[in-house]
Amino acid sequence: MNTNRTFTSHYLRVRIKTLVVYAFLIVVGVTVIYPLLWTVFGSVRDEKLFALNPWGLPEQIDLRVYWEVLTEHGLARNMLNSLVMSSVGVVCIIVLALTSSYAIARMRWKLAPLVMAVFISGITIPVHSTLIPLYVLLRPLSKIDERVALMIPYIVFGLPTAIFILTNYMKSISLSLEEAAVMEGCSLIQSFALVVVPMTTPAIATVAIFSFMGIWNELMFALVFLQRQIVMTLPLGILRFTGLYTTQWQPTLAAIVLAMIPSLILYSILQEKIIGGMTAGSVKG
Amino acid sequence: MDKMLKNPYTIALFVGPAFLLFLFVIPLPVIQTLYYSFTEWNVISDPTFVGFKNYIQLITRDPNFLTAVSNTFLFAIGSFLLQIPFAFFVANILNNLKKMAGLFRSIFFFPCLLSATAVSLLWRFIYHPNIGLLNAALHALSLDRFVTSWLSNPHTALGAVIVAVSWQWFGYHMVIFMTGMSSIPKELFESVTLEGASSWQTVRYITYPLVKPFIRVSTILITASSIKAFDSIYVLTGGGPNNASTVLALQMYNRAFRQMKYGYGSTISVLLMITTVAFVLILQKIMRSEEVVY
Repeated sequence: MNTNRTFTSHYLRVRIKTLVVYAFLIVVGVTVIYPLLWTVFGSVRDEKLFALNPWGLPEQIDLRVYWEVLTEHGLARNMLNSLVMSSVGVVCIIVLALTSSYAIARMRWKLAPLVMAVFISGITIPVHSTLIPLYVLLRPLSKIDERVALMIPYIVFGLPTAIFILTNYMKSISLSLEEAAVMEGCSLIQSFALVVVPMTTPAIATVAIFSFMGIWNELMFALVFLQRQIVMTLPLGILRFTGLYTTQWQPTLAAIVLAMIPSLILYSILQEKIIGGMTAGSVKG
Repeated sequence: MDKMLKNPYTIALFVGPAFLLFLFVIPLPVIQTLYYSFTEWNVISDPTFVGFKNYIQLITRDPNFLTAVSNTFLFAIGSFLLQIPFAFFVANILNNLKKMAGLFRSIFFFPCLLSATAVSLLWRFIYHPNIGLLNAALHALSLDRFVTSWLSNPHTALGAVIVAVSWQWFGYHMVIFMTGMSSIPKELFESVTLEGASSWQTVRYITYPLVKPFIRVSTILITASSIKAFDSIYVLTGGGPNNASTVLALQMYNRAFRQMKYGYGSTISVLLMITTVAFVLILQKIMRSEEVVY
C-alpha cells in the first residue's frame, strides 16, 4: 500500500513536471511566433481598428496593400536586386572558394598554410574597417553600376568562412578516387571538376546557404554603396518605408512580411540543411 | 599525381584569383584605414596628415565616442546575459524532451534567418508608444505606470535593442548548445541517473562541462558581433535619442558618411578593429586555459 502510494505520487510529480516543461516551451514558442503573426495580421487589417486594438485578430483581409507595396512602392525591384546579387555572389564565392580550397587542401606547396592563415584572418577582422577605403577604391566602378561594385566586397567577405568549411571537408575525403582518375588519364583540372567537386556537394550546399544569407541580409555596405532607389537591395527597400511609418502602418508591415516570406519558404523546405549551414562555421570552429 | 600536385602554374591558377581579390578587399583597405586615421579628409580634396589629432580628440573631447564605447560594452554584456543562460536552459530542456523537441527547435531557430533590418522594423512596431504590442500588453495587465515610448526614452532605448536582438538570436545559440549536448552519449546520463544524481547535478557535472567548448564558441560569436553591432541599432533607434544608444560602428558610419569626416571615421574604425581582434584573442585564451584547469 505504502509503496503504491509513493509510486503514484512519483508518477504524479513526473506528470506535473512534464506539463510545466511543455507550458514553458509553448510560452517561449508563442513569444517567437506571435510577433511574426501580428505583423501579418497588421498588414491586412483596417488601420483604425488596428490602432484601437493592436492585439486583435484581422476583421478583414485586404491584400491590395501587398500589390501596392510591390509595384507602386517598388519593392519588387528591390527583391529582384537582392535575388540577383545574392545568387551571382553565391556562385562566385563557391567557384573561388572551391579552387582555393583545393589548392590549399590537396596541392603540395610550402606557402599553403600561410595563405590559409591569411584567408582565415578575414573571419576575425571586422569588415567595417574596410568600408571607407573600399567606398573610395570602388568609386570608379560604382559610377558604372553600384551593384557590380558592391558585389566585390560581398564576394570576398564570404570567402574566409567558405574556404574554412571547404578545406576541412576536402581534407576528410580520401585521395584514392582522384588517384584512380589520374591513372585513367584525367588531367588535374579534370579530376578536380569531375571527382572532387561532386564529392564536396554537401559542404558546397552549406556554403551556398551561409553565403546567400550573408548577402541577402547585409545592410551597412548597401547603405553606403546604393544610393539610388532603383539599385537598392531588399533591406534598404523596406527601410524606405520608415518615412511613411508615422502615418501609414499597413505598407510598412506588408513590406516586412514580404521580406520574411523567402526565408520562411526556404526554411520549410530545407530546414535541417539551413540549420546546419548557419551554424557550420561556428560549431566546427 | 605527385608531380601534378606540385605544379606551380596550376596552384597559381587555382588560388591566385581568390587570393588577389582578398588582398585587395581586406588587407589593403585595413592598411589604408590605418593611414587615413592620421589624416583629415573629406574625400573631395587630398587627405592632410595631422598625426594623433583624431585620436586625442576622440578620447578627450568627444562625449559621443565615450557613450558609444560604454554602450558597445553594455550591448555585449546584455546580449550575453540575455541569450547564453537562457539558450543553455532551453537546449537542456529540449535535449531531455521525448516528444516535439524538433518542432520547438525549428521554431526557436527561425528568427535568426530573417534580416536584422526586417526584425528591427518589426520591433519598432512592438515598441510603438500607441499601437505597439508591448504597451498594449502593459495596459491589459494594468501595469500602466511602466508604459513609455521605449525607443525614444534614453533610459530604455539600448535595453530595448538588446531585447530585440536576443529575441532573434537566442535560438541560434540554443542550436549550437544542442549540437554539443547531442554528442554526449545517452548512457552517461542514464548511468548517473541510476546512481541517484539530481537533474541539477547532472547539468552541473556532466552537461555543462561537456558543452563548455560550445559555450565558448557562442561567447566569442556574441562578443564579436556585439562590438560590430550596427544594423539593429541603426534601424531601431538610429543611435538616439540624442546619441543615448549610439555604438562604435554607428559613430564610424555617422562621422564618415553623414558628416564627411573620413579621417575621423577611420580613427573610430581602427579602434573598432583593435577592440574586436583583442577581445576575440583574449576570450580564446582565457577560455582555453580554463579548460586545461578543468
